[in-house]
Amino acid sequence: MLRQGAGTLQLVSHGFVNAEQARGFATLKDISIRLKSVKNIQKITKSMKMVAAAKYAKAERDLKGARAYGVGAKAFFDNIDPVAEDTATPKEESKKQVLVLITSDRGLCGAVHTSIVKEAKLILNNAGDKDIRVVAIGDKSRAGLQRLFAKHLLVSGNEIGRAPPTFADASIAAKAVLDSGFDFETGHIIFNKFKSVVSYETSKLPILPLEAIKAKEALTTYDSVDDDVLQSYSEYSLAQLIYYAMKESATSEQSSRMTAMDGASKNAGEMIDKLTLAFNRTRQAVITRELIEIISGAACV
Amino acid sequence: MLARTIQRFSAVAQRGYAAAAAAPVKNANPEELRLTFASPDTAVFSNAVVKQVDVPTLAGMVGVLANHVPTIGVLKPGVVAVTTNEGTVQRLFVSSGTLSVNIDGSCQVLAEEVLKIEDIDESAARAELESAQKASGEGSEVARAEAQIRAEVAEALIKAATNQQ
Repeated sequence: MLRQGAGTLQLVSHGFVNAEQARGFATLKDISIRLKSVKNIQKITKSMKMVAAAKYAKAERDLKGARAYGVGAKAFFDNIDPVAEDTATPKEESKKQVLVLITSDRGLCGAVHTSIVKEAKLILNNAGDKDIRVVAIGDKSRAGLQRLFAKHLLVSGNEIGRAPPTFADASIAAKAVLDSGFDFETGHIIFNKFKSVVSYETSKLPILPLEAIKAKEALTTYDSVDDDVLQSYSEYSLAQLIYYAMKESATSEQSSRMTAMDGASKNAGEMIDKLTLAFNRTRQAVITRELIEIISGAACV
Repeated sequence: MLARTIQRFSAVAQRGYAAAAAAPVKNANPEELRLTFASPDTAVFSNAVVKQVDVPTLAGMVGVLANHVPTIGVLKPGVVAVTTNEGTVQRLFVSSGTLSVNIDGSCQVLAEEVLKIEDIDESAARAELESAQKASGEGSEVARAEAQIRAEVAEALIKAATNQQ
């Protein structure tokens, strides 16, 4: 069934191969062109790996400070909302949710962006009657959701991923979330938590808007909390959390890109080996054929 | 290092008791003040035990010792002074950010910028103050407010730099 579906496509490629074979197998010229292009590709992937390695080293260094910052920002929310950590599903009652997806504009880095989009799609598919909106940071998350969930997109931003994320970037994102006019009851930041060079974990970070913080019982134990302070605090916290998520995601992305480009370079190397072998064989075959032609020509005389 | 691991073990033990009391206490000894003092790219203190922290907030200067009542606040430009357990005082300039003293006894000072006092360039701060004061009289409301904030930061920078000498 499936074969029939792709029938025409296969036929075309078959015809192409036959035409090639009618002319004889790949000539020396063909192979050398191919070889050269694969070598160029390897050069590119190798240098991309080097660049990613340098960026990764910097990102990881930065992450140490950012992690203390992010964990600190999270501490207040863990304290006033101790349930959120144990069970991730007490959000039945909150109808309006916001998801902040932290990706970047750049591809060629394995599955970092896809895993975030996948997570978001899973939540959106199981939304039921909940109103879930998405803030897509980075082109990759927007592109991933545009086709199926375009009406859920609230704000999207790009121009992120070239340089390491800064606090200013996070502030812009936080402001966009707050100014979007969507008064959400709860929210999550979805990002890739960096674990090691070869692994990351797609995680969620809860965010609470001002109203939700005010509603928490534990807040009463806090001293001298007035509305003004609380508002500034909640806005600032959002920026801090987004900043932390951006840093984690950026580090995961660079490390993942490093691994992906390493794999690509290795694959290109394998192709180069095979093509070199084919090239040498063909060359030898050409020489042999020419010799035979000369000898048999001489024998005839 | 060893002390830290011991602390962590005791944290695990305490969590068992705390769960029974339904308190959100999950970290060690509440008799200690554990400070996290960080800027976005560097952590000056990361969950370190200190004696006292003095923080400039919008509601005035706040001194935090161990067993402080939980509170939150918003930083204003000024000098954060941290007294370590050995009694040495470390003074750093912060521009803005948040302060939170939590139920579990931890204290977070998260600033947008952290600067060592000896790194402050006083003449640059004065120039900044002048240009900000000039700008605060003109433009839209947002621009004026921004200029005022700049002036406030510059003033605090100058104050911090001159107090030290």
